[in-house]
Amino acid sequence: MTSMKGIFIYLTVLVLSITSLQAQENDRKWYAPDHYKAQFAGNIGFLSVAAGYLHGMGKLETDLYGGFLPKAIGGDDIFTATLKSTYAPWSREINNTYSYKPFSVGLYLSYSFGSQFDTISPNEYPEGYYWWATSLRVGGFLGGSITKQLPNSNAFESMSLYYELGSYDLVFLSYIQNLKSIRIYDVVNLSIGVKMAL
Amino acid sequence: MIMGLMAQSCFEYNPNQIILDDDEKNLTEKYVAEIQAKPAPDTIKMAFMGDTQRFYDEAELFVKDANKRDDITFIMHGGDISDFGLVKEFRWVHDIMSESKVPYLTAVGNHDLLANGKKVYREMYGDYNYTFTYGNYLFVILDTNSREYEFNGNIPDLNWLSARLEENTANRNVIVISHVPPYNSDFDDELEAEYASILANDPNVVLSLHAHEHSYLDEEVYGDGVRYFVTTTVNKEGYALLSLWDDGLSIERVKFDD
Repeated sequence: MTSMKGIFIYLTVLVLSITSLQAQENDRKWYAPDHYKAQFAGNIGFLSVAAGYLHGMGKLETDLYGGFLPKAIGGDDIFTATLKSTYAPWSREINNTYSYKPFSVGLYLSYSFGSQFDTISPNEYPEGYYWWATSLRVGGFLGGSITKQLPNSNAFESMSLYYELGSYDLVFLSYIQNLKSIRIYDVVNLSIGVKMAL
Repeated sequence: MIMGLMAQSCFEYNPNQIILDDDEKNLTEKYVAEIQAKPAPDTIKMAFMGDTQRFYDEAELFVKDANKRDDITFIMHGGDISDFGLVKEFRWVHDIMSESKVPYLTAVGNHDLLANGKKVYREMYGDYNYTFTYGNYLFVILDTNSREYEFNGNIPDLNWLSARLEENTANRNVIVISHVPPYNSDFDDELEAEYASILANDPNVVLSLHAHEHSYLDEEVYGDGVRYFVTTTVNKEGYALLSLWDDGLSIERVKFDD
């Protein structure tokens, strides 16, 4: 029950912060984000939310996600912070309202909070004893998205739905070293998300 | 690909999540019961392997090889089931090991205690320290991964070990099994001599079994009458086959083909 309460507080804070940012939309500061995202799954939380920027001629997005996995769902309460970049070189218009990006590719670096996760090897280990950080995961993904323009909305320019098929360092390494016993879909997972562009 | 994704739960929330199917929980209790359900043979044959960490192809070869024989009573995994302490790795290894014809048990390894591995092992297998009897043998499984507890002086729990040996009033032969051997630098220096003397002072103890070092060792390490045996990793296509009868035992090194 504490984790459900955690989610509730988390979502409330999120909604309040977005709403307060929206109120300032007319005089947006240079650091104000270009969009917000919410994502389900993808190894960066059961649910994660992001603020991000659009750059690289509108083809590159860089987002900072905060994610949460409640114990009731994932066996442990885990908060994550994730920096993610997505490159989508092509955009196709379907009509005035809809467009899609058939292909995107990206990378992320995700940090899991918790005393059981280490970033720098603690003192009791000789140098190089464990070569990876248990708190930090690097992942990559392929995906795509579909966008709807929102001409009647004061708050948002458009809304997009995206999906990603991703994997991450430790399991992908396990896969390429064990091609007989591990299959590619053992190390690939699906995530879906929504992006609200300002 | 899509079917594969759907068959696995295609959504993952964190590499450190602990999501298990019901039949992947409390495996120690389940497999001990399975072993004990059959009357002990005159000669118990225990396959002793270990360190499957990121060696899935080789672990599969081990199971195939073990399944070709019909004399193995049960399998003992000497620890380092996983490499990174991730639930996904534990599940992969369990998928492979559960293809064997006989039950398998585990000793917890240092890699199994990383990240959320401590919780994963507890949920999947059970306690780090446990015992069971079979035939004329008492098997004592012990967590000796002292380094993972910052050498806090409590791991291995030698009070627990002594208490289990004292309970052995039936004078069964005792085999103590743990991942890290006592002379290894990952075993608490301050507890090494005490561990050795507890074993040496109990005439029922016949063997101290370990993994961790990825190569065989078979030696009376402390010259006190206690035989120490370390098994190799499946990555070297090898395992030990122990034959245990009422008043004696032998150990054979088995090589399987890749």
